[in-house]
Amino acid sequence: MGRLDAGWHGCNNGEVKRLKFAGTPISPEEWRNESVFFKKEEFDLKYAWDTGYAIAKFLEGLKAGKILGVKCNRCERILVPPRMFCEKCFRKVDEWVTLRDTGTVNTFSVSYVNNDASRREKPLVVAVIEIHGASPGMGILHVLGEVEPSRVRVGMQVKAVWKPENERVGAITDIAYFKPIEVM
Amino acid sequence: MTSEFRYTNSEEVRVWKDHIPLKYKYSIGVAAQKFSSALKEGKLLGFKCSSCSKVYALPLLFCPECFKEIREYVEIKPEGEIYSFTERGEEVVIAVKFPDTYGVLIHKMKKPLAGRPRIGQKVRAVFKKKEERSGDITDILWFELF
Amino acid sequence: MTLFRHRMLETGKEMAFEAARMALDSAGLERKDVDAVVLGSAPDAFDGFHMKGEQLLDGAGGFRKPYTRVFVGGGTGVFVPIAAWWHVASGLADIVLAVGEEKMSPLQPHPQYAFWTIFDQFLERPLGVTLLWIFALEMRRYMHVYNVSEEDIALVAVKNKANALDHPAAQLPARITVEDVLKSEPICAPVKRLDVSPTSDGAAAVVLASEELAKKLTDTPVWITGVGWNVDTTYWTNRDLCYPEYLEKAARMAYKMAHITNPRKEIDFAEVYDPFDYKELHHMEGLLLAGKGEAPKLTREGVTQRDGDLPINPSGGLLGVGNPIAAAGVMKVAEVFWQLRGEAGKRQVKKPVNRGLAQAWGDLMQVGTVVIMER
Repeated sequence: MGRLDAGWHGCNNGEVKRLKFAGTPISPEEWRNESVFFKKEEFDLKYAWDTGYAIAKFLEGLKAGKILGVKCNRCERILVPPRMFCEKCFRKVDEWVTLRDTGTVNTFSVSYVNNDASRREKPLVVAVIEIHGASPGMGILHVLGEVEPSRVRVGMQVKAVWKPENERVGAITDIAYFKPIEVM
Repeated sequence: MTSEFRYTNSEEVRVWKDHIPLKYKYSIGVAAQKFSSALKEGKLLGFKCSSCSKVYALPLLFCPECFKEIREYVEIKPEGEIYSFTERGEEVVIAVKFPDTYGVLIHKMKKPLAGRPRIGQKVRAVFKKKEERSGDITDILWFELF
Repeated sequence: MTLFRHRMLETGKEMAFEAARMALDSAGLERKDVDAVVLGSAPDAFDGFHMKGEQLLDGAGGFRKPYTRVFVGGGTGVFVPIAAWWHVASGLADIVLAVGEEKMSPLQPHPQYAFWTIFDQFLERPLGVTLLWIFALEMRRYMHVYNVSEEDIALVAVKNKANALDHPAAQLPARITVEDVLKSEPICAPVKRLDVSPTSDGAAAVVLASEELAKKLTDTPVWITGVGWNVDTTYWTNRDLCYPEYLEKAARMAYKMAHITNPRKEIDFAEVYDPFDYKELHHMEGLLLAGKGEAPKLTREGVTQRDGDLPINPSGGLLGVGNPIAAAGVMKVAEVFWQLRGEAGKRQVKKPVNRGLAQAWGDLMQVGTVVIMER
């Protein structure tokens, strides 16, 4: 098999056969007008997930207005979100710890799209927040509020803004958002 | 050493409920385009492998055995026999085998007025009226004994 | 490989067939010569067929053969040849067909929608998370820690889309400028539209053979001399996203096997996974082809162009050719193959090449898969 032109490649017992790249693109018009056959289907998958030992307690903590973590005595890390076993040492963790509800922004982004790629009405600031009281680098995903997107910085100190007690149900959204502690 | 890994007392946080709605619009494929067009015409299309000469009673771009592209098509008379069946209330789900073809077509027939369906019974397709056909497998309403 | 396009008429099975058939033809083989088949395809949610490997089996030539489907998110495309390599290296098979396929277009309203289901259902999904968040968060972290500008990152998009102009199957080849990238619509700051690769339909395949057979089938076989793979924890918010540890581990695994001690000098060129432009820089560093934070400098200096000292993504990468997830990785392996045999036509890199690397990444910033190929 010798040198051949860009991407046109084929050989059959030494005889060069030019093959083209197969594929029949569908144009946006054909898609919209459905001038080729399409099959449409909808599923609505409903789930009831067992939260498991650790998340159940974490959610209960959120309902009570607390952020809980767990400690592995072997590697001495304090982990959040809490888990039943330390994934590094591969053993059950040893105790529960109540962490602070403040943290440091490790990284952030401003999202202009929803999860179906449609445009959001208002941009959403999302961040990984390292929770104070846990080991360094232990972050959780959440959203920021009461802050201008352009003023968010890596390293910013933030505090959880909790929903009122009667609205908390045991969910990550029991924290409405995190807001900057320092004066912006 | 062991921590309090017992289930919490609170019922509410032990189960998290949510749903995942999924919506699809499939392009049916190059081979199925031909099959569906034929259905719309009230015909059943067979796909013939030029290498092994098998005729498949389902849309195939390539012969799964020879792994060669299929470019020959034959019209299959929509009359076959019951290969197998299962009863579901008033409906009977049947697998229909057409003579000299490979593969069976899964479809439905009405419960016979007398007796039970039997393997080997001859059945033929009953198509929808032309203006009601859309290229879907349901262009065949059901199979009937004859 | 097939064309990579946003939407194709072909079903997944049909695309897999087209790619597999082309691979077999180019090796002068028939399906009956194949001992085993490995197929890779990413989340089932795209085409709503929750038994995807089996569904694609006939198209991959797996009918009544030892057949496996592998999946590690985006890393799948380079993992497929690794799994195929296991079959041959263990002596279990002499000829293995490795196929990567993806049909993303059926999911409505947009394929991106499938990705929120890979996040934690209790703590992340209720926030309305999308896959873009994690990329944007990682990009921000990388820029912050190593002081990398958006302009530096945009250079990668400019390079790859231009490289793709010479790839006949490419979906989005284009001649753009850094300014075009910076001005493009912000999707999830700092990610902008031209920083991202498209969603695509497509398939690609390669044929692996044992040493003896490879020599019989062709005068210029390309040898796989190193494989490596590694997966990090799913607790992604507990990791610093600025550096892909898991990729370094995968790379070291492959380098050890290939007896490489100085990757920057000993790898002639690389196809590095670029679903976003900043990822090419991120991965170059994880692959130890550049020091931490140094990849932007190499890009600015033109080192990673086709006529540079370390060409990166001469194919045009995912940014230019397209991103049908599992097929994209196999496309990269195919590119390394064609480059090493001098068959890449207008995409051929200027310097003579003996050793190349293909890499993919996947999931929640977790998977590194690396394959090293040599003449």
